[in-house]
Amino acid sequence: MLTIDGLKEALRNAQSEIEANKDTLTDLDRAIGDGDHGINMSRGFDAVSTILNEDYDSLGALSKKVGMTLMAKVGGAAGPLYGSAFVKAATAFGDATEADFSLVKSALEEGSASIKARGKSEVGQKTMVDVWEPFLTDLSESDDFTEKLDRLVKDTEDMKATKGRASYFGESSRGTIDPGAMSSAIILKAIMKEVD
Amino acid sequence: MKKLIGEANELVSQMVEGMVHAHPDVYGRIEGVNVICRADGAKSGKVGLVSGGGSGHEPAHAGYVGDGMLDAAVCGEVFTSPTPDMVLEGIKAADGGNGVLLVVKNYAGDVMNFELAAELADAEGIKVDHVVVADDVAISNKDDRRGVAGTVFVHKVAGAAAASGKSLEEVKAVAEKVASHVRSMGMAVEPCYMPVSGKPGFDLNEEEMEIGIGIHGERGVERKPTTSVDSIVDDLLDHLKQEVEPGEVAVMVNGMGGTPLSELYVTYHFVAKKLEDAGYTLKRKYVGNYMTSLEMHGFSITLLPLDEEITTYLDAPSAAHGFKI
Repeated sequence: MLTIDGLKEALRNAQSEIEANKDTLTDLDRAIGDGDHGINMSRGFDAVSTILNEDYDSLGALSKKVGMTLMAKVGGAAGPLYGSAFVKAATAFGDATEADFSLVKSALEEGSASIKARGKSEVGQKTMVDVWEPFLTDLSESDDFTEKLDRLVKDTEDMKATKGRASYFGESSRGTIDPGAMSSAIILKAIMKEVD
Repeated sequence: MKKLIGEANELVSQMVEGMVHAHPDVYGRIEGVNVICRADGAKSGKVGLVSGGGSGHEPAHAGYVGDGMLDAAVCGEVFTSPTPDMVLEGIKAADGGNGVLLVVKNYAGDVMNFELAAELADAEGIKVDHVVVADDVAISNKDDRRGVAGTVFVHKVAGAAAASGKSLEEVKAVAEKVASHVRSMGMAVEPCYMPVSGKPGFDLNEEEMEIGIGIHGERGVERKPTTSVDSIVDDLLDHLKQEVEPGEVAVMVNGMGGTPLSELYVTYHFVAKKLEDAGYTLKRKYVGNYMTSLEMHGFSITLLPLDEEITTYLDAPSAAHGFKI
């Protein structure tokens, strides 16, 4: 079960993981983007950590607040993408105060669909979609979430980017992990860890 | 990298403070938000014109706020698109009751954040439309092209059209006309350094240069050994000439922020000669820093085919500090 406190804990863990990987995210983005992903995500999750001190009556209310905060603080492309993912997930969580595996999965599927729609992107374009969508496909409670997410992140390394700033580099975008895929995996791992 | 800044996280707000304090006759600021608007507020009945994007491109975009150009500029973090709530503040500040046009550079983040803001403004009853500028010929797929220095011509022409009392549809049409014809390409011999991380956008050794750079410190599409500016100009013009027919054009040689004016004029000297030899008439010329990338050492060339309408709007008065006429 994912509780309100569990989701808060997940977001705090995501914040510290993003902080710990801030330079790595930035370096990946320097290689195939504009070198600010770590900085932007760190600014956004710092803001998220402050709203976790407030009380929420439902998972939906918390998820929506997280989404609005990310949208307002991250900037760039990641802001609207992560922001809309949490806002859409909030609609699936609704008034629930705890969510079982299947509700968490539906909420994340809403989030994933929203990232695809807002980013106008598909699987295989070397973006965060390459983590969200395949992670959720056939996801079962008995899966090793961490292993699956790590593998999906690693899989973006050999892809050629055809969407986002990395696409300007064409063939030379191969050989670098997509920074959005990496930050997505950090967030998803933190959430899945609290679903038990 | 040494920087003349205070707290890196405060760079944008301190820059905005400084601009408004230095030029109170032209700039106003929306309290608490990094949005620069006109000192005299939105003009009733005039179509509002809003642009913006990441900071680090000065004088773009705040330098183009003023009578005859933009009504508001939304200043995101360095090289990071501003957020939808910020853009919404810009839209509100520019709204004179006859609609607002957003000029957006074709970067995924900018397009998403400005579109979200347009949805929010629409919900508040403000009529908003937008034009996306994608003038960078370094990217071959037209849908993926970045918006770079050519955006300044869109600001100028759309701003003059709005100032002359045109409707939102008419301002959009002329902005689209410029956006669909303007073409640019840039290069750099030295990268720029991100203020927060202190790291260069890309690493270049002494003998290399990047061709086909964007304006966010990202690498170019091609890395080559450095050569003379004469042949670099040939290289960029080869791309531009494939898309702009010989005829009357406005040409802009734009510095990337760390290029001495002497070098920009040397560059322009070669650009002008080569274009004239190829049958182009340089009817309007602009040399200077219009759309920069922090301290990057490099330049871009922009060509805009001219007709009577565009020429008239280019020549119309502008009080904007970055494009005073």
